[in-house]
Amino acid sequence: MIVEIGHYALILSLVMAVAQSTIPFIAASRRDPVLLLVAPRLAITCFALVAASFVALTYAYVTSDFSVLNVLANSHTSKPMIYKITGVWANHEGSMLLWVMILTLFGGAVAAFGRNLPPTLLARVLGVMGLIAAGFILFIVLTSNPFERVLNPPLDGEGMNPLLQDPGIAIHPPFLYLGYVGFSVAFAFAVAALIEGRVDPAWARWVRPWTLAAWVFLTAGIGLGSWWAYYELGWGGWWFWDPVENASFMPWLAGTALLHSAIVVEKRDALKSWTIFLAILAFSFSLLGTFLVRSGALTSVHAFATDPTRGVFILFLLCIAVGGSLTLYAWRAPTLKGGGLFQPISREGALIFNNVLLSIAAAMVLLGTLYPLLLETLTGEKISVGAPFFNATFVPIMTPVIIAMAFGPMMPWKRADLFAVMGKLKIALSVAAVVVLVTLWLSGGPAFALFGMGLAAWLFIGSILEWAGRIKLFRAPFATSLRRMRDLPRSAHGTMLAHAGVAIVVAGITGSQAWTQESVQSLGIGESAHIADHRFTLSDIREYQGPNFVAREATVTITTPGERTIVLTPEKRVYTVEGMPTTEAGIRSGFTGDIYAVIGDQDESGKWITRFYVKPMIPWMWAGGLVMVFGGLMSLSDRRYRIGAPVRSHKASAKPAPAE
Amino acid sequence: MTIAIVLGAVTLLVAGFVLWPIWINRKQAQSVRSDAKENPSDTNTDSKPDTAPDILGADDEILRDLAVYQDQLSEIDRDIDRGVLTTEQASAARIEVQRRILNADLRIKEQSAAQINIKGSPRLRPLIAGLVALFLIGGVGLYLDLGSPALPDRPIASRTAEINAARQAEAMDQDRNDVLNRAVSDLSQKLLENPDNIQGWELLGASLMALGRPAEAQTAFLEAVKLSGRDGDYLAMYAESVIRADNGQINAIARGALTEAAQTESIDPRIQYYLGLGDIQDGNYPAAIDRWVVLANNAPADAGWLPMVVSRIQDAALAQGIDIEGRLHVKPSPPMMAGPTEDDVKAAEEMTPQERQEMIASMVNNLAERLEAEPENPEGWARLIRAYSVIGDMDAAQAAYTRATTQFADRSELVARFTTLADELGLRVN
Repeated sequence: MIVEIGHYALILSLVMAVAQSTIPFIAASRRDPVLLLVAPRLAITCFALVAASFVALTYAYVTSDFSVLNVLANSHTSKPMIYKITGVWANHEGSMLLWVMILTLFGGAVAAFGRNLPPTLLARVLGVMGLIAAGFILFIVLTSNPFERVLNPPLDGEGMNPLLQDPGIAIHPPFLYLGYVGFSVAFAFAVAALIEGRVDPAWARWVRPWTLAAWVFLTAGIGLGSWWAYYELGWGGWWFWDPVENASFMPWLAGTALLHSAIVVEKRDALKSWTIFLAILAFSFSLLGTFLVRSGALTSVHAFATDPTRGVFILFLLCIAVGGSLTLYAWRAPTLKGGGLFQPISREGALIFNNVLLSIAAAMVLLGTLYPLLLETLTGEKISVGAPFFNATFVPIMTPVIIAMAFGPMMPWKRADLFAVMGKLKIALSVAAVVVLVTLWLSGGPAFALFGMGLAAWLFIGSILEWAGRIKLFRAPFATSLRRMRDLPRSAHGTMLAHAGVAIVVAGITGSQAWTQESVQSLGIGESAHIADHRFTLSDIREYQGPNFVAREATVTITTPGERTIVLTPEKRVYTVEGMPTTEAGIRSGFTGDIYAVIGDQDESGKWITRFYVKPMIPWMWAGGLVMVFGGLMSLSDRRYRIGAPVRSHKASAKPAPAE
Repeated sequence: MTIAIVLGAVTLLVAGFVLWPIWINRKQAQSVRSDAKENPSDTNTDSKPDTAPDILGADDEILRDLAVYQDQLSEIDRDIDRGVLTTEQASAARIEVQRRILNADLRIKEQSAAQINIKGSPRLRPLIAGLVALFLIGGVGLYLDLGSPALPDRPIASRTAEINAARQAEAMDQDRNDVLNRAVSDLSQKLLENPDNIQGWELLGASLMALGRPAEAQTAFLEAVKLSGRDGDYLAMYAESVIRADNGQINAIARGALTEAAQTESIDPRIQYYLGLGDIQDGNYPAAIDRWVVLANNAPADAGWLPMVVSRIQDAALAQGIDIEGRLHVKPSPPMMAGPTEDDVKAAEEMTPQERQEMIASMVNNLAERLEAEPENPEGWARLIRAYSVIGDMDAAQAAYTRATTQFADRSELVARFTTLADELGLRVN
């Protein structure tokens, strides 16, 4: 009965979403105070119902109820409990339900905490979210219903893709979805503001934290995804410019731009129209990502033919959401009043500069992702756009972004003196030069590595300098600096951490791309291979039985140049139910880098095929991602109102302020 | 029934929660109106029956915006106290806020001049309530279309009886195959000594067919065909084994054997049936139907295979649009197996565990009796121990284990196997 209650709750949530996408708009346009009270209740009910159906589906998974087709197709009794639970969203239907649950959760949260918003704005925001929810719940109910039943259920399920039976990938989709769907709030606020025809003072105060939260989750989700690819796929790679990855990266780029321009709206009452545009863009990319991953368009264009309804349905939703909001934008945006004025060289100017470049970068990724799909659809020709394209386009676009990132926070609002800022960044420039020289001396190249390390050092020091300047580090007694640091708004710490995090990521990418060494060889037990002054010895091979797999585990003993001994145990598993092999790499992470070992099959001579890697600096990438996430959380916890105002001019500030 | 009540309650709860503001407002408006009737002197109440909180007036909007700006101003003061802002920066920030306040004030005045007295529409509210109710009814309809309210949850923990039955069925299959395998080896032995035994060859072929080894059965039946002087019945058996070995294809060998059999006196229905199937495989539907109609019309009314042939005729006729009206002279074939009704499913679910339990018990007893008669069967003993533990009779399992170890006391590897098994099942191990 619980399963059927879940199904009913899902359908009722569709009813509520339909009501939520109509009644609030009527209420807002008729300015009816009673109906305006109904709107938040609809949103909260909608969430409660979707959550109930999600709980019911989870219950079916936990109890292995194979009378539910979705459980039958994706679960198995011998699976460990954790993967029975994560199995709920490790399949198409369940993950769409999770997507909608997060969407309605955000709608419910806006409804619950939005009392200080103007009621008509709140109603319209909820109405827009209701429209999105209605579209997706309809999609689930009609084409991807997780509550389809089986009359005579077999006694066991068909199992779950073993690649997904991993803690990293288990929590990756929820994070990613929290990010994707988080942008729906900014989107709804943007569309509501377009309908209202004005941007409220409370508007920016709402958009920024939601965008920031979405950005934090998306950053964490992408980081987890690449980390999983790194240790689970067994190729030592972490980013493949694969369309699925790009699908999450495009909203991240647009969302990063949105985040920064939302700050300008809040602080300076400027860039409203641009912010609204970015909000629409960020969520459109999220929808596009959902479409690409969920329609089957990615694995093959022909997947459309096998299940045309799903792909066409999402494409339809995508067209309505993106087309509708952009049309509305074209129509209403000119009526929005611009706010504070500013000169090109200013904090605002720097933010716009980066915003434009981030948008171009997103557009390049979009082109590289969709071009092969379009080409295959139109001409049937298969091409693959891979790393060379993205390296050639993405790196040149992002380089000025990173250079400007150090300048931005140093610039005052409204007007700035570029030379004064450059003066403050002397130290960063000299440190970057030293790092380049040291890198050259230690490694001798290659050129792009020198460049990347210099860039990372520049940004890292630049970010710290701005923060250090604000707490007067080394310029005031240490105790004063400490007090100033405590008093500094948390968003200032957040900015520093997030920017420094980017620097660490850049260093990690550069180092691992430039200096990774790998070797593939057949080894007998007791034989060794030498890579980058490390000696890898295959000490032992044993087989063992896991809960739902059999595994071959190798023991690899590594002697480092410092005569340290490291033991890694890479595995190759075969999941018995699914009959699929997986690779569990053996990885030892350290400050300087990773040592990575993979065990393969036996060759004809009875030796084992092994792959060993020495990957300098690669953990920095994920550490940098963590620092970025932490910076975002820090800034998110800062709930102050922010006002950014320019001080009148340099000369005036030198004198005691006159009575103004 | 419970599910209907639960779903109804959920629906009412949802409707109640969502429509609460409309309901409350209606009640208040009514009470205001009745108050007004009681005190006709009070004219104020009559003019304003709508008691909804006025949250949309221009004044409220200014107040709400001012509250934000007020917060912003006090935030600036706090920043000065913490030393984050200099007085100079703070005064710049204050000017910025004041500029925004002026703008907001201006805008709101313009706006309220433009839309004086849009004050909600009380008459719309019941309409909206009706709309929500309509949506909910639509939802119920959609659920009844897509959902299966009568289907209970089937968590695996509640399906032990089914799992046991499946295990038992597997064991039973094993038993049956053991018997057949033994029959095959016995027969082969006997036929080596006495190769002229037609019945022996027939039995061997049938056993091999039952074991799913039609290619081997083919040789056995061929012997029977030769020994019987090409008897039609044996030719039919032979043809069937050839067809099964070729995945149901009526190949030239099978067709030859069947044609030959058709010329004998044999009335084995397989002859005409498979010849008809051959016609269909050649695309000659009318010929197949002719053949099968004759076969069906001449069949004894209680022949087990008759309904199958009739339904094949009907399928073939339907597929090719051939009219067979009046050609079939068989009694109305029993209705095709209808899918189980919901009641059937329910009934089966309620009855089966007990029935199943009895069936299992009887199978276990049979096995025990057989072992009593022929104890030299280690596999059988292992199965018996396991079977007792599955049906929960641990004492019997213990006894069987003791009995088995005594039986094979001189064969240590068997004793070891029994002991491992007993250990797995949680029996006492000696």
